[in-house]
Amino acid sequence: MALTSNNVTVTPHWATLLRQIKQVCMTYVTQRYLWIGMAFFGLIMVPNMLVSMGPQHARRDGAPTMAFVIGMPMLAAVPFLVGLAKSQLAHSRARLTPQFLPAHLIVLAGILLSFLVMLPLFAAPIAGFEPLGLVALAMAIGVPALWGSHMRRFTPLLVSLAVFYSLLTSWGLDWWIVNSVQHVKIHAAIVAFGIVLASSWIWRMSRLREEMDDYQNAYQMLFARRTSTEAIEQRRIVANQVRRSSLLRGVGDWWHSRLGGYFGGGMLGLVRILTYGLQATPIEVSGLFFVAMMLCMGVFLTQFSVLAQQGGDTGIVMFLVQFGNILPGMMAGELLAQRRPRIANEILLPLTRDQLINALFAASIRNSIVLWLMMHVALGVVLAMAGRPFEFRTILALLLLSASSTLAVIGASLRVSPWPSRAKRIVVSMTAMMILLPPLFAWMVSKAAINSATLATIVFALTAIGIWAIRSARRAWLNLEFV
Amino acid sequence: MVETPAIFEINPNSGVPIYRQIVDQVHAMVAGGTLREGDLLPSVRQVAQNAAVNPMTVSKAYSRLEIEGVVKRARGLGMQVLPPSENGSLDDRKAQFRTTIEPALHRARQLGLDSQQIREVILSLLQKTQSDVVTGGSPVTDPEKKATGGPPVAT
Amino acid sequence: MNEPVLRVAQLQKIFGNKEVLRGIDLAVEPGTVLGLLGANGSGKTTLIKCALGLLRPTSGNIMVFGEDSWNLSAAAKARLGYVPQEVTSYPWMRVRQVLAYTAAFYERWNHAFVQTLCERWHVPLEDRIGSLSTGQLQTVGIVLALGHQPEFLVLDEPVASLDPSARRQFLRTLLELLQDRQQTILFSTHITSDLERVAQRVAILGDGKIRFLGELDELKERVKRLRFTARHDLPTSFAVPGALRCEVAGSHATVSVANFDERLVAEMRQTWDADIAVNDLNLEEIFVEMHDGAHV
Repeated sequence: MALTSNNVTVTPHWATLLRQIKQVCMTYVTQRYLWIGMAFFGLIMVPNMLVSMGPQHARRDGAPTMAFVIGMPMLAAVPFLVGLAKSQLAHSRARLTPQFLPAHLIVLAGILLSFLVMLPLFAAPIAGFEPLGLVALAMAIGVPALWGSHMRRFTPLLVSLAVFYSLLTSWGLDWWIVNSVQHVKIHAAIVAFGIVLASSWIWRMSRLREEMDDYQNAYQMLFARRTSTEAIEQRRIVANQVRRSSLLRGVGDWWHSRLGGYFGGGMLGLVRILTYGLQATPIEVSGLFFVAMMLCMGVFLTQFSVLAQQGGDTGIVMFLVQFGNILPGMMAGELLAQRRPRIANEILLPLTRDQLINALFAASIRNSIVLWLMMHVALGVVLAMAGRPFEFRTILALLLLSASSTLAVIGASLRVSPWPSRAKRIVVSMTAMMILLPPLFAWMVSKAAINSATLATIVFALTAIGIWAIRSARRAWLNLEFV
Repeated sequence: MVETPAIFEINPNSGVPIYRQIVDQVHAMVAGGTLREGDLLPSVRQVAQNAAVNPMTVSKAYSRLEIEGVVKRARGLGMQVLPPSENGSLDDRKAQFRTTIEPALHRARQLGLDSQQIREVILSLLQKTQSDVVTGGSPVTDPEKKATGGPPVAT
Repeated sequence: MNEPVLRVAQLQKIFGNKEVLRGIDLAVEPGTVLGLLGANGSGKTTLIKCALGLLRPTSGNIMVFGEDSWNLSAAAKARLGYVPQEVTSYPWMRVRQVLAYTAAFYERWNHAFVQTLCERWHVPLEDRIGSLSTGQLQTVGIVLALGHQPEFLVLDEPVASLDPSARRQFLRTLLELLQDRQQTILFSTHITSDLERVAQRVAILGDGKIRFLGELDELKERVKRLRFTARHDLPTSFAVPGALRCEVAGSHATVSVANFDERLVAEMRQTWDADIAVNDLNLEEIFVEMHDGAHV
């Protein structure tokens, strides 16, 4: 004991702090999915950087690249950072461990600094743009995302998304990047405001107490093994979300009031009742949110974006179809995976294992189909509004391809759904989609060149993959052990 | 008459099995005159609910008492206390007493008492408790006790 | 006796390279209460999950109502109730909605009984599952498991987060169920005083094996602690047959025996020339003796 205290007294204060900082850094570095994320980021970043050093250097053509280099990390990494920071600071140890705050806050500030300031400063000379505009851009996307993730509110995230999507318009590119010299005062103001908000976030992190609403952390949802305390926290978060929104509350109660007094409605009845365990509101209602997103994005892209002005119809439709495929497809497996601890209880309901798993699959696939239909109706509206003439054959082919690739995505997401780790599920199913979706795009790019037979083969192959994956997923769920 | 359910003092967390506690207490109450011939034991349900113990355990105790001849199952009434004379055979009771007295005799040896001295202590005790025994209605009589006490002393 | 409600034969369960259960044999007869005791990590939950078909045995055989536990029929499941160690339910639903949801699956759901239980245990019907305390959630889990009045009730530490008074109320309800109909219960817990009230039989699990299986009364009658006080120092050869634990200090010794016998004690009095006091042990003490004894 005496020896230990002697050691502490002889160590200079700054050395202790450095040692602490090193340990705090370790808590970030040891995250496996940080490295996977970095690798993905590198895949996007490095080629873009190389392109911007080439003939596009300091020209308007290079500006959209900068939008991705600066914008994507902000949107992707900031929510993750907030979760990690909360898992450290929204915790009793942050209150009870002596000397806990300085090292942790310094590391946090360092990370924010590198994202919001260092990255744009590094990218600016390479691409030949004004640094201030890029820093302002990073702040305008990153800081609202920071506070939005922190408060678990969607509105600040909308600001981030709006800024990000403004980069797809020519005036947006000009205002933020190309002609940023003309907006120095406003950009400086944005940067100043961003610094204030980011610092106040760090200050807030140092002040978190258990009774505060933003003490809760959704971060652990990513991982397979959770302690029971973390499970309780997840429970609280979902209940809070429902309680906070009066619309969600009203719709949910109305929906559930239709539940009572049912027994033995056969397979259809079973599917109907099991649907209640997938989401708080029926997909016909929660899907409206995505329909709205599809409409907004669609109208924006087809009417206002640079892509539309450059005649990039195919690219836009590709993007929108992708949105309408991935979302319903991923939902099928992800909702089942999140339901897993509850399915462990439902296995004991008076149904055979086959009945339960079949009905659960049917319920989640039905939800996906409904969402797919809703989003494609919205897509149809967008295209009709854009007034682009599409032949009947093109529309039919598009629908067939979209439906079959969605089925394949549903299969992929269901196949990975028995895996406990969410991060692993996302990485693998994303990879699967990179393989499954290109046929769709290939057809779009060269639609005239591909004949009906090839089209039919592609549709058939995607459907076969989807059905095979769903059957394989069903077998996996039938043999699943609920630890 | 029906006794109040709280008639038994049951401690589920003691080292003595619950059924054994009930059996012992009925024995004691019969010996002590609290329970007389024709009295009814509280129902299994009453005892189980009152003490928050498994009713099967109470049933087990009652069956044991029935086998020992302390009570009989009276149709429609419950468990009825029998006359004390039917409380098991004389040999049974002797054997029970023997197990109680054996350790005491051993202790007496450790204390350095010889057989004669031990006999004196027992006799004086017997004389002192004689009056209680008679009023308590116990069938146990003097000579029997001496006879039971005999053999271990000889060992 | 009828067919056992649960019969486990030669059950072995291996996770990766860790053998959690090493040949378990167990039967639960109808109308009886079997208490399952065991140290942390001794495999209680694994055993229960195997018995319910949530986990698949590596080898061995488990029958529930005469059916293979991994592939239970709907009819068998309708006769089964389970309260897991950690109750999980739909966080966004109100308690009332979760009850309606679960009731929807059962042909014979006793709404009146559920209402009585909810009133008795002050279940907040209008609150959302996500906002309940751990104890409240556990109570909801118990109500959900009892609503269809299952013949066989499996409880995996059901009262760990309940306060003493709520625990007692829960035990009383269990006892009422035992009284009113032929209720079979498998009950795992660390709270031995609860088991002493409700369990007729106990199984003590240690290192993946059954260390004792039998009547609780028999266990209490068999396991005793003997305190030796000898006139001289006890010799190094001092030993007691069937001892769980033996501590000798000079002329004193404390020995826990698994097979208590009056005659044996009388013999030992002679052999070691010692005064022997016999102490009864309650279930908690017996558990500690058996557990510590196994690790000496």
